[in-house]
Amino acid sequence: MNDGGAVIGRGEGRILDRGYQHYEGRRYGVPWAMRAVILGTVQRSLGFRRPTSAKIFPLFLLLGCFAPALIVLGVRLLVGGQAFARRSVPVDQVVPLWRYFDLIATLVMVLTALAASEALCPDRRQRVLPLYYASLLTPRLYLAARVAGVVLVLCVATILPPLLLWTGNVLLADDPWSYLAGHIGQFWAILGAGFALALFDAAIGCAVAGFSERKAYAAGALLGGVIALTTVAETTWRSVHADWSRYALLFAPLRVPVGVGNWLFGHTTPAAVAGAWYLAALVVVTILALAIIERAYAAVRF
Amino acid sequence: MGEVDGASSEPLVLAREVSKNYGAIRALDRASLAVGPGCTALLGENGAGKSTLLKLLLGLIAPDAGEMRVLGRDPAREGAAVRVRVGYFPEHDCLPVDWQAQDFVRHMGEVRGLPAKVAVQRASDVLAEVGLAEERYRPIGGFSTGMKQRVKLAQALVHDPRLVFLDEPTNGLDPLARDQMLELIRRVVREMGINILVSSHLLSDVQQVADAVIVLDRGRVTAQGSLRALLAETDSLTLQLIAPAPAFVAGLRAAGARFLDAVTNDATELMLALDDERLFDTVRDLAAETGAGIVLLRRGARSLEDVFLSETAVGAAR
Repeated sequence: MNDGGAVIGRGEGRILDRGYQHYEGRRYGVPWAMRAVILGTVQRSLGFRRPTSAKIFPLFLLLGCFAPALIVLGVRLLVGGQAFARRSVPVDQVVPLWRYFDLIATLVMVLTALAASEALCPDRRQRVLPLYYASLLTPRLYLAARVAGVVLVLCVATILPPLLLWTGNVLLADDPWSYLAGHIGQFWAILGAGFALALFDAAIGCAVAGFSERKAYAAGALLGGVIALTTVAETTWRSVHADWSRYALLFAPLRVPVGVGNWLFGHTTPAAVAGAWYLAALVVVTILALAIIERAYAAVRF
Repeated sequence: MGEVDGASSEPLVLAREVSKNYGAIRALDRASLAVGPGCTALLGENGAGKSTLLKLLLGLIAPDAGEMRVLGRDPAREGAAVRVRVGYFPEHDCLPVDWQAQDFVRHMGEVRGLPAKVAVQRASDVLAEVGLAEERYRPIGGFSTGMKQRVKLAQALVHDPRLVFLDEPTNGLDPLARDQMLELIRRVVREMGINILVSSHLLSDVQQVADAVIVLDRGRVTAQGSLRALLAETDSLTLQLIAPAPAFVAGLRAAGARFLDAVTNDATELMLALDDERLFDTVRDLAAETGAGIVLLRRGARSLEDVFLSETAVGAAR
C-alpha cells in the first residue's frame, strides 16, 4: 500500500495521498440494497442527476397532476370562496376529491409509461443486470425494488395532489377543526385510492416494460394497449344495451383504479358496477402482471 | 463456517468434484480446484466452462453435484453473504451510459451494503485508484473503452471485497490501455491486498499478472498450480523419429513417461515432460531395444501457451 507523500514546511503538513484504505466498518443487508435501488429508480424516473431534457417531461406530468389542486386552492386563496359562489356546489366540492383520480388517471398512465420504461429498460439494454445480481440482490429482489420505485414515483402523482387539495380545504374552511373532524375519512380514502392507482399502473407498466429493452417501444406498447383496451371496453358499454355490457369496464385499465377510488370515497362507481368488482379486477390484474414480469426476469440469463 | 481471509491456510475458493449441466450439455465436469491468495488465472477456450464456474462461485446458479466454498461459505446456500465480500467484473459492457461514473460506483457500493456516506467516499477513492479522479463526474457514455474498463474495476472494488472475479478484463483494449489495465490488476493485488481470480484466454496477459493458473478444458480442470511451478515442471523433451515406432511409444508409456501432446501410433514427433533427467537414459535404452530411429532430441522450456495448448490437446484426446 502506498503511504503517500507529505509536503512539510515550517511546521505544516499536508497529506497528498492516503493510499488505498480498507473498509472495516458496518455493512448493511438486503433491505439497504433494495432501498438503494428504489431511490435510484425514483431519481432516474424523475430525471434527477440527468440532463435537463430528462427532467422536463416527468416534471410537466407531475405539474399536470397537481394542477387541479393548485388552481382551486390558488383561486380560493387569492379571491376567496366567493369566486365559486355562482356554482350550486359547496366551495370544497368544485373539484370533488373522489373525482380527482378520474381527472389525473390519463396523466398518471403517461407518467407510468415513462417511469416503468426508465426503471427497467436501460438495465436490460445496457446489460447492467449482472452487476445487480452479483450483489446482495437476487433477480426477484431487484425486480421488487424497481417496481416499488415506480410505485413510489406514481404515489407522488396520485396521493400528494389530492392530499394537497384536502389539506387546503381543511385550512381554508371557516372552522378547520370541525371540517377536519367531519372529513378525516377522506384522508384515508385518498391514501387507499392513490396507492391502488399507483400500484395497478406500476404493475401493468412494469409488465410491459419487462419485455422490451427500448424505452420508446415499452412506453408506446403500454399507452397503445391501454388506449385500445379502454376504448373497446367503453364502446362495448355504451353501444351494447344489455346489463352485462357495463362489466366490460372491468377490462378498461383507465377505469379500474378509478372505480376502486370512487368506491373508497363511497361514491357511485363507473357504470354502477359494484366497487368490489373493481377491487377484484384490480387485484387480479396486478397479481397477474407481477407474475408475468417475475417469470420474464427469472428467464433472463447472463 | 467462518470467513476465510487472504492470510488463512484454507483456499479462498475451493471446489470439489463440481458438475453443472445445461440440458444435455455438460458445462462443468467434476471440476476440483483451489484458489489461494494473490492473482489466479482461469484459462480456457470459449465454452471451456469459465463463465459457468464464475456464476457458480457467485451463487447465481447451483451445481448439480459437488461442493464449493468461497471465502469459507457455500455460495449455493449463502449467496448474498458471499457476494457482499466478492467483486465482479463482467466481460461485456455493463455500464449505464447516462450516469456519472461517481454516481454509478457510489450506487453499486450502496447496493453491496455500504452506508451512504461511506459509499460516496469510497467511490471517489477507488475511482482515483483506477486513475479516473478527474473524470469521475463525467457521464460514462463519453468514456473510452479503457476508461469504461476502469469504471468496471472501480465498481468491483468499491465495497472493499476480499476477492474479485475479473472476466476477460483486457477485452477490446488497445495495447497501451491493456498494459495499463494489467498494471492496475497487479496494483490491486500487491498494493491493495485484494485477491483476484481472472478469467482470460490471453496467455501473455496471464503470464504478466498471475501467481497461479487453472486450466479448464471442456468443463474439466486439466492443470492447476503456481505459474512458476507449472512452467518449471513442464521442461520438455522433443523427439523426432525417422518413422512411426509404436513399440518405442508403448515402451515410453510403460516406463511412465508423460506425453505433453496427444500421441497416436503413427506419430513421428513426440513431446515428453522432462520431470526427471533419467528420461534421457530411458529414451536411449528404448531406442536401442526397439530400433526406433531418432533424428532430433531437443530439450526445451515451455511457455504458458505450450502448457495451455498441450493440456487442451490432451483433454481433447481423452
